[in-house]
Amino acid sequence: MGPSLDEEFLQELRPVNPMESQDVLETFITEVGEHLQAIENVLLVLEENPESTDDLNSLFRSFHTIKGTSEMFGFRHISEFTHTAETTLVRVRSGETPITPGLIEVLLKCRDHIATLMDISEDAFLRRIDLQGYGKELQESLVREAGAAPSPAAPAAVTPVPPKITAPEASVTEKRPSDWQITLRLKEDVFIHGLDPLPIIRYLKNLGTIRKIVTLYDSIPSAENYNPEKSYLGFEIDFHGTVSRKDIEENFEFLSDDAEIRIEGISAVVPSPPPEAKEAMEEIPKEVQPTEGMRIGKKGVAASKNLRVDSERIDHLINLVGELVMSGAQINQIATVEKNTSLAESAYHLGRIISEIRESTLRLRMVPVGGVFTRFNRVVHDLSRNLGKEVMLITMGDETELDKTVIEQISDPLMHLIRNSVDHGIEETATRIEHGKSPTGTITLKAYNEAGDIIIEVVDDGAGLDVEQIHKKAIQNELISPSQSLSKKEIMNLIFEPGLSTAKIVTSISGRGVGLDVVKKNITALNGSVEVESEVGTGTRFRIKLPLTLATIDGFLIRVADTKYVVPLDTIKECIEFERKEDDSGRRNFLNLRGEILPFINLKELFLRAGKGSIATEREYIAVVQQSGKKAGLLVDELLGEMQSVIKPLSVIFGKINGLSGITILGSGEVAFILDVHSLIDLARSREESRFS
Amino acid sequence: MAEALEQNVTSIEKGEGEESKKRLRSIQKDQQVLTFELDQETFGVEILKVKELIEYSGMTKVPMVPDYIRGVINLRGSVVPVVDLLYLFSRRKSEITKKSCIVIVESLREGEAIYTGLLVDTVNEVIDVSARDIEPPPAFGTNLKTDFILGMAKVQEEIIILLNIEYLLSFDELSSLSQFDFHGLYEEAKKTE
Repeated sequence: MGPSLDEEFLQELRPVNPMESQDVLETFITEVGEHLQAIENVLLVLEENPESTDDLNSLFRSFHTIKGTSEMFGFRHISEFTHTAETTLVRVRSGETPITPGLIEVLLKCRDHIATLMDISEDAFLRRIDLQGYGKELQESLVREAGAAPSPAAPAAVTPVPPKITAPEASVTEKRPSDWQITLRLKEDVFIHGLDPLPIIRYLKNLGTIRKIVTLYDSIPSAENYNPEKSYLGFEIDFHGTVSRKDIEENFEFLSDDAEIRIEGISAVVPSPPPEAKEAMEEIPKEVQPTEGMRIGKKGVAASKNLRVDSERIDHLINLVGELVMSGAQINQIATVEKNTSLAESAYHLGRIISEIRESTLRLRMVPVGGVFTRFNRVVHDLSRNLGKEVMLITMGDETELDKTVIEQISDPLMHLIRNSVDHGIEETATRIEHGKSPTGTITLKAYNEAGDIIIEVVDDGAGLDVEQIHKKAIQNELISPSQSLSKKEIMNLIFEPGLSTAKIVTSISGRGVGLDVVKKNITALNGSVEVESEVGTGTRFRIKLPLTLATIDGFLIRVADTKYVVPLDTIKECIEFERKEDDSGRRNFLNLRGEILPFINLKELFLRAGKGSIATEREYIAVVQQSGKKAGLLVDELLGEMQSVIKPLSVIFGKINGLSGITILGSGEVAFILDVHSLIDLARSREESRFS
Repeated sequence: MAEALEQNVTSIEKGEGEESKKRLRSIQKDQQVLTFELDQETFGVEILKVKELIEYSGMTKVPMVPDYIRGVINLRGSVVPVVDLLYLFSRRKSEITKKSCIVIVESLREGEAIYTGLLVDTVNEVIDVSARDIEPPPAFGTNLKTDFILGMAKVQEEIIILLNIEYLLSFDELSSLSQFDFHGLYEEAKKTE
């Protein structure tokens, strides 16, 4: 017999300290996050189709992996809580308890709770007590819900694992004490696989009392064959606790690949266990086959096809490639000038490779939109339940790819539109039946490519927009004048105007429009646009158009003195040649555009502080721009035509410059500024006002 | 070094004389300095701050920013602002000559490295300066805001002003100037009218 490990020594075997390695911790958090997302998805599927065994199994695996990994990382409060959910699922899986909507609801809440636990896991040790309190409550309601469908064999399996840390001795006096003899023979490669068996043994203390541990060292080889990286030890553990064989088995599940485990119940104390214990011995070899969850834990990194890369590195790469494109163009230029045919040929070839590199580099930032879409299943589920409506969300085109930044920023506006649709678009079930519609409302979320843009549609089959009401309200709020003749579409798109959103529109479309101006603003900020179509009684369709990537803008290039500027193309209405009258003093900044009086901004005067009245000798042009209902002309020296350019933020040292929204580098390598038409008009106006104040 | 400087900058802002002595001690180490000329005076910046030197070959003017920002240049795909040091020091614009150079320096802002170009008349050389040759700036006489100066280096018979790049480019104070000056514009407009 070897030396026995005493209690004090076991006490010192701490699980992996979560703060030890930020990287490992991050991987852990990401992994749990993925499982939580999976749980949510599967639960929602199960709600539709409770019979699906596959989904149930994957649900179980997710809970199981979360439990296992969080224990390994020392987040015991998470693993303890997850354990109960997992136990319940064991019963569901074995068919003891049916999966009911009530149970799904509680499981969803459990999932949220785990997410909360994860969020604060870094300072979890401070807040642990409160969390455990809520966890307990949920654990109890789990038992209640599952208990509602009575089953004879239930009690042992459902009992939540009591945190025995406080008083392990007390358990001796409990109803079903049980003694176990656990033999653990570690395989030689256990350390190579990165597993540390000691924390796992230590965890046993949560299930009961470890009375004695004997180290088995009989397989240690002779000194010349001894490899210090290998394990030659085994342990015999004399364990006491009111647990089932399964609980112990699960405790060692992470070791199941790397150790032979034998668990024997000792019949001396408890009258009933012998048959169970016997059965246990026979079953173990096949029960401890590795599950999928475990594979993820151990080999996930090597097997994964995905690579996590810091987005800054990609941005840097994209910058460099942009540089490469320009250098390539220069070489091409030289070859043409020098009339060197072979150089020109090589330059042409180089150019083609470069443009391919550029395309695939830009693709690195692209992410499928599906990740955002799945999030809304839950939103629709929760919201429709709250409102007592039946709503189904269908997503299409999940694989459509968008720039990561765009995806991150489109989530909120989409959420808003979907909430709007559930809340105000889809009618009450009774109303729907009355109108001869299917009682379940449908919201379709669809993404697809269209001519270099990405379109995302939110379509509902609800009540639709009442054009009359919107029109009335718009006149009432002085958004439009009663004499203005507007098409039906124009009227409907008024719901994005801020004036309409402040007040509720009555009846069927009540509240439709609250915050829609914010939605529009957010989408415009992404260089996108949004419009709405609707048919009363049939439904509403929101159509969001987004650029493939945030990094580029379709613009119109202009020149003012020596500097070039880019005007966003969608703000340009038309361009005209500007003719000054002979006696023009240059003091009047407005012109007659086909009968309309159009104020214009003399950019040279504004930007270069040229004195008033400095009249250019060369030809001048006016670019007519319009944004958010404001229309103005821009007086410029030259119109250089349409172009696509890459947007770069203004340097930190400039802070915010009124009238400019960014910087871009032109194909020639020149720097140009991107105009912010909206603030430019404001700037011109306030400038003029300040002269008279 | 950067951290030490940052600390110093804060202490200078607090105006603690004792602290500024401390700052001096921290820069009193042997260092390599890039020297350049500005209106016939020699200045230096620690070589570790200097990323590269480029010949002046035109730049793009930025509308509606203060005059000490001469413009921006395209540095291999990044847009880098160029500061006219002479204007910052003496409200006179640097003359552009054949020898004009842009010294690209790195400074820290909120933990991130940012690049800024300094427009100088001509770049001289990189010299070794030993710690004992560095002295605190005099109370007056340099005609510069003392905060701009890290120390005075005596090299042979010449005195080189070592610039405090971190302070110089801590644009908190400077960028408040970048607000558009409506009143000034109005005055200007009145004059011309």
